[in-house]
Amino acid sequence: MLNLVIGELTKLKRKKITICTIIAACMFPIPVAIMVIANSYDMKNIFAMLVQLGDCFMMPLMLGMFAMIFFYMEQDLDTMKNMRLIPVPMGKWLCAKLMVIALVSVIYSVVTIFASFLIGLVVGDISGIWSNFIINVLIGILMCAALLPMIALIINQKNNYIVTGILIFIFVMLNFIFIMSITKIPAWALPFLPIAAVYRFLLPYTAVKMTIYLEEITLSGLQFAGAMLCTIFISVIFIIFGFHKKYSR
Amino acid sequence: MSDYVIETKQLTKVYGDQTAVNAVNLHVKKGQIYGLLGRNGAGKTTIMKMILGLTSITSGEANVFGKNIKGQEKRVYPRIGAIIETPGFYPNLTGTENLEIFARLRGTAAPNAVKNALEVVGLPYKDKKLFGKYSLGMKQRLGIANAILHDPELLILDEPTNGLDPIGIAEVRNFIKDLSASRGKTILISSHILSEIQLLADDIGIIDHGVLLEESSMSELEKKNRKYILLQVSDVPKAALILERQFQQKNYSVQDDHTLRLYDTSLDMGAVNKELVVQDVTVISSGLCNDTLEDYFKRITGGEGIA
Ligand SMILES: Nc1ncnc2c1ncn2[C@@H]1O[C@H](COP(=O)(O)OP(=O)(O)OP(=O)(O)O)[C@@H](O)[C@H]1O
Ligand SMILES: [Mg+2]
Repeated sequence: MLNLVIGELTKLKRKKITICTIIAACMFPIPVAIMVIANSYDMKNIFAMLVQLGDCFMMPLMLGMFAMIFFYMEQDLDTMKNMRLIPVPMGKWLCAKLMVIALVSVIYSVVTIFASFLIGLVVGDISGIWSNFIINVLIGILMCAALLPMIALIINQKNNYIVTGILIFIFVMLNFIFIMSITKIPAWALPFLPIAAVYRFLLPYTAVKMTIYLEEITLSGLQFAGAMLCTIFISVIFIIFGFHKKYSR
Repeated sequence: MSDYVIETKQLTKVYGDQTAVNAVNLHVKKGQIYGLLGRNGAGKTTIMKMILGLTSITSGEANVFGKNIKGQEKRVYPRIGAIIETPGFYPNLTGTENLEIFARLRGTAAPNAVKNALEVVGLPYKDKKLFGKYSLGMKQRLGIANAILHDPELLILDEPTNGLDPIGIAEVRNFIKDLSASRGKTILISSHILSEIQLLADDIGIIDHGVLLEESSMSELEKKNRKYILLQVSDVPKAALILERQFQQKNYSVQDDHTLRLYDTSLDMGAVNKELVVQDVTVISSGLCNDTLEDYFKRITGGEGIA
């Protein structure tokens, strides 16, 4: 298993998408910093912005592009036959790939926290940095689950970067609309908007100020757990199905 | 238990309404080099993919080491090294890095496996050049290196000399021969180049339009097709008539307006020449010839032959 993960990581060496992902993660806080300094925001504002724009928008988009290239790699480069003739156990291979994607998402969260800390230092407010740290780790973990539908979508598409790219964008945008608005999401739609669900579940810890509207749209633990389990269940079935199809072609 | 490392029985593959492989019975003996010869699109790759279980079998069966591969991949694949069509590797990695990934995943490979394999195919170890910058010949060599990485008993090589220059082809041929001769490996190799197979193989299978037209040992094939009598005469139809009537010869072919080929080399040519002259057919020349395998290939495929 470890060999598989190391192998998958090696395959990313010198790849453009790897470099892009890293640069995007590191560059993203800069515009946030500029806005923060221009408006003399405090820590709560900085953190709210990083969660909204970074964790819930930039990160899913980047991770989607990354996962797309990562999952299409073998077929694109015709190395599937080499993997199959070893033979690499399909289940373990899928797990290794998912673990690498989870790793990227964790790295992204760490960068976000670090960025909020740096920006905080600049504006002279680093209050609540530890609680922010814990919340962001939590977001990172929950976001891994929330991105499963996107990965299911990627795996079940033919290797068409443009179509899949557009679908990823639509998925992230739909979620983002509900992150920025205070419209209630009907219960049946929650499993399909998992990024928004994560955001609304953790709203009390990330919002600058809890208003009555925000309280109304905050998800209870039960609602959230139900929606997430539903998302995970459906996604995992489709991921296994799609990966099996790609693998045995 | 058969002695064959690979044996197929009525192996058939149908793509849509096209029968790419049609009831093929291959027999690859242990320790031998088996050359699968066929033109582009003959079905060589498809046969190899079915043997390896990389594509489904429409009907018939393919046994490797006496077993059906399906469900046995974990036990059988480590005993096989294969290249199928173009070599597939990661272009952002060096040749060594590529092989190290696969060696690591195999787990069974010896510590020096990557270095040794690269040495065999004549590529530098720990070179900085990325696979994406490799020439076609280098790519092909890396593909072969990957196939021999884990020291398998059976090699299945689909056109391994594709894209190599003449010296490269000779090199690859030599080490393939060596793998069989000194290390006892069984090798199934495909090619569309007749001379290549002729120089390399112990056994040969000729495939055309998915049908295995002939399967025999190389030496037998050479014996069987080597000799014929080339007869040049002024009047071919008349000569043919005389051969059939007076000498009971049916095993001949007409090459052109003035030339006949007689495949019964035990024929008394003195008598034939005399009789032809008597019957007013001028004999321009007559003599024993060696048929090349290429002619033979042309004849049995009924086509243009092969370069
Ligand atoms: N995936 C596929 N779908 C449909 N037809 C296919 C497929 N793969 C191969 N064929 C057809 O099967 C026939 C045999 O193809 P194959 O690749 O086995 O030939 P080959 O002998 O390896 O040729 P070459 O020397 O060009 O490599 C061809 O007519 C080809 O068009
Ligand atoms: Mg082929």
